[in-house]
Amino acid sequence: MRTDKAEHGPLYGALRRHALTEPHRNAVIHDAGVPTYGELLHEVDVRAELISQQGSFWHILHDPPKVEFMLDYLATTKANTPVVISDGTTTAGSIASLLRENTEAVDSLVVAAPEVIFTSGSSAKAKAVLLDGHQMYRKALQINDFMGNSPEDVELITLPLRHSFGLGRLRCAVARGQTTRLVERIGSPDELFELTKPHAANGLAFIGSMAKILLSRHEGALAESAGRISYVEIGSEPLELEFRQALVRLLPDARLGMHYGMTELSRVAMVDLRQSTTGPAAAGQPMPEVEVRITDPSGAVEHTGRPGEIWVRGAAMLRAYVHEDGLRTVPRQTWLQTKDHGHVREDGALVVEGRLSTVLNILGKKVVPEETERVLRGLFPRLDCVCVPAELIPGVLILVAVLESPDTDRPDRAVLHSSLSERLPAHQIPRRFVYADRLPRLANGKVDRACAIDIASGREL
Amino acid sequence: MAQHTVATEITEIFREIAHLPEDMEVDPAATLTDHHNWDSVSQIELIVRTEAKYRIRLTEGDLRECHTLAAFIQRVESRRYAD
Repeated sequence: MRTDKAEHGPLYGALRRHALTEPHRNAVIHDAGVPTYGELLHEVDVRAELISQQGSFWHILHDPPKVEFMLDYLATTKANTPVVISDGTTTAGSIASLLRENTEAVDSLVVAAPEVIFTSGSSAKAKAVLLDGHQMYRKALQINDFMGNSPEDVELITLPLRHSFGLGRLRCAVARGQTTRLVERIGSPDELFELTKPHAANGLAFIGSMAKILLSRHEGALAESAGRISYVEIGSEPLELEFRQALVRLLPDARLGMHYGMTELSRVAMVDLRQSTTGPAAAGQPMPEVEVRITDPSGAVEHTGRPGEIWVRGAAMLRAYVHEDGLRTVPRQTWLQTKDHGHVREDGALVVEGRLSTVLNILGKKVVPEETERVLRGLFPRLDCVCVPAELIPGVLILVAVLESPDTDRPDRAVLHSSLSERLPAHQIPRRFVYADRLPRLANGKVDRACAIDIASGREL
Repeated sequence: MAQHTVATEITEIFREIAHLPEDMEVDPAATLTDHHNWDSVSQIELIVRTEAKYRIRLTEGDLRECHTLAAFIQRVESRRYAD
């Protein structure tokens, strides 16, 4: 029998406090209604009771609708039930079963509200991480301190809640007791600003690629929103200096916080873009309770200013990796090797210079091209393929599959896309499929990825 | 040889981006976001590829008003003659 070490998770505690002190404050704005904090608490309590009655030691949360996700997520924090946040693959079910078999181990690792979230990670193997809800709540408070958001703010969340960034924003909003406007997805980048108007949303969050797209094609919409937007958290991928400067110019009065982080540890460092418009584009000062070190290839610590691999650790660090085949505990004080390359400035700010491995950062998610290639070859044995990045607009990459088939009756892109959708998370699926007469190869027979990038980009060989 | 109009060419680009089967009929009047695979990056890809194909530049105002494929095609046609 699972032994609850805490009555409920701290995020639920925050929700209850807000419901008691500000019961009539709008908690959520969604397509079907605008429940207040009092109403939200009631609904969460009902769902938590249902979860308890089910007697499950785990709960799987699937994708949208977001309001359902939010209610169930908060209910698990009351019931203190381990929650597996599905990434849309079948792996979530087997991971939940694994957790059930390892209930005691989970209890020994996590103080409150255990949650498992999938990460794109930096290896080809699909994996999820076990996080401690208590630590995630502390992190949310630290992020709120940095961003300076208040209970009066209304934040528009268009990010997927099953991803670390989106879920983190939800935690921050609930922890602060502010109003959250949930939107399933947007079809056009400038909708982001249109959607802020009806309920006077003044807080936003988007990935670095979205910032670049907005600056490239929707500068007017950005500028027009200047008086309305109070804060924006930007994350998941680096933003070069020119884009930072442009954002600050267009939103001079907004708090523009950018983070460097990972699912395993949430935010590692944050920077206020208004203070980062000259010199190297720093990822910012490490967050409270986070340590950063730079190492050489042997693992020895580099001195300030010298570049190397970024290692991180902290109180909110994952407690275990959860694979289909087991639970691998991560001892406290373990350093996480990020496979990112960077250095620490004299003022202590971290500068991220890029990736050390072949892992790509595409639209804010880490993409392992070899994994997509492996699945494609498994599904279509007569295809050969290589997956490479192509630039959509300056600074924004998408994944493209270049394919070779000996058959005239070859699978079309719709078949390729739908087949991959059943096996891979969305960010690992190419946005374009390009057939080539032959895959370009080097003298040693290996695929020539540089030439494949030219094909993927529509450039002549 | 079949004569390709702007409408058929853009519909084909749209079909590619939305990963729609080749035999599936596309309703130009449907809202772009009604398509399951459509997102904000898809829209940018449609714009970028259309601009490259016709050597035009769509303005921010053009994009804001194009919620359907039909509206987008109409805007591209008018831009081609204007530019």
